[in-house]
Amino acid sequence: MIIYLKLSLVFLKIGALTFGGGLAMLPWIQQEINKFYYISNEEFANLVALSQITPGPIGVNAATFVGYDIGGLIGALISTLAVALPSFIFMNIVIKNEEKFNKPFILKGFVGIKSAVVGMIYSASFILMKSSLINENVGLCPIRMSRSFMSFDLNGIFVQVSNSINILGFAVFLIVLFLIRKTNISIVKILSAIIVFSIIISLICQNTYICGTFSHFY
Amino acid sequence: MTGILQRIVVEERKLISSEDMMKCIALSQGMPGVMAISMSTFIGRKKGGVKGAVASSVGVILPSLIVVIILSIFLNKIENIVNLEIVFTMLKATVSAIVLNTAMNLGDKVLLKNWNIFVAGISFLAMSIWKINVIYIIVLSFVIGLIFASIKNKDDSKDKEVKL
Repeated sequence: MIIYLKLSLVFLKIGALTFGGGLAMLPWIQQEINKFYYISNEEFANLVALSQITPGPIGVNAATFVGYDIGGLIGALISTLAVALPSFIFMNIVIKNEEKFNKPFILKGFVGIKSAVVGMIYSASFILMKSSLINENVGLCPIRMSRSFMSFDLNGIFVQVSNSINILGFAVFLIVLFLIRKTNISIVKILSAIIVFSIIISLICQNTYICGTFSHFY
Repeated sequence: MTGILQRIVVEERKLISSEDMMKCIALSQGMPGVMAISMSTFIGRKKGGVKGAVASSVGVILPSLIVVIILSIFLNKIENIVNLEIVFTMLKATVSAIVLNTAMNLGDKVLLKNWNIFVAGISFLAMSIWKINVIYIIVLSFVIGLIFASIKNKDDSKDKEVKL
């Protein structure tokens, strides 16, 4: 019982006070949880990776994972609700008092915020592209790259560039971008098709030689 | 998240206007807590009052709650059957294309003047390379917008005088 109370208090606090979305929450969750329940660094790194790759908001995923780890099903439910409640209440308060914000100088400043938001969305897609289209563990080594340039080693340049590009991710990226921009297929359909397709590919690639071509996945 | 929400809510279902969506993104970026819940509360409240807000927040939490609970029960077994790495790489590539498309669509509507493009570029660099906290970006862009929009208005009035 006490552990549920502690969980809900910790996640209410985190939900009410972290700025900057789910990623900013993660280190703080570890700090707070370690006060009454031990989670090792490695376990926590797994948890971070899992909450990033499972669909849905990162903050909610992390809360559910930690809650399930500590308090089972009820713990997961309690910590998820606790982390969501503060932003729900804040947003309701803000919308209730919306007329107070409709002043000319706020509307003028809002034009600036709108431009900044476009930049933020670009950066969100940039970060996602970096982690899905480029092999971070291979990467481009500037020293080797410049050496290949100096000796006009075209083959070397090609190998280095192609090794650092994730071919599968790049192909999917281009296809989806084309589908979205040129056709009117609904996004839910595209997403579910990609999920089915990726599960089929991963089943095929499980233990066969094809894995060699996708060796950078490992 | 933002990209998919914008695409479905504004472009496909037409629940709220693109103007409201910008307001929603800016507000939820600036407020503490989980961004997805702030955004869905905003949209729900706009469309269906408090009941709508409750419904949409529960709706946004429920799928990830179920998926995470199932994952944490079965994770060890799934890892042996399906190569999760490939699945997640493809999903991430898909989502990055969706988000890029959203940014381009919004950019067409918002980035009309040179200073708009300048602010967007600075906020892009600040978010993705300098890793500056979102709050500072929002406050700064508010101030810049205030200054430039005021200057712009003066210019417009001068133009009108010349024409008259």
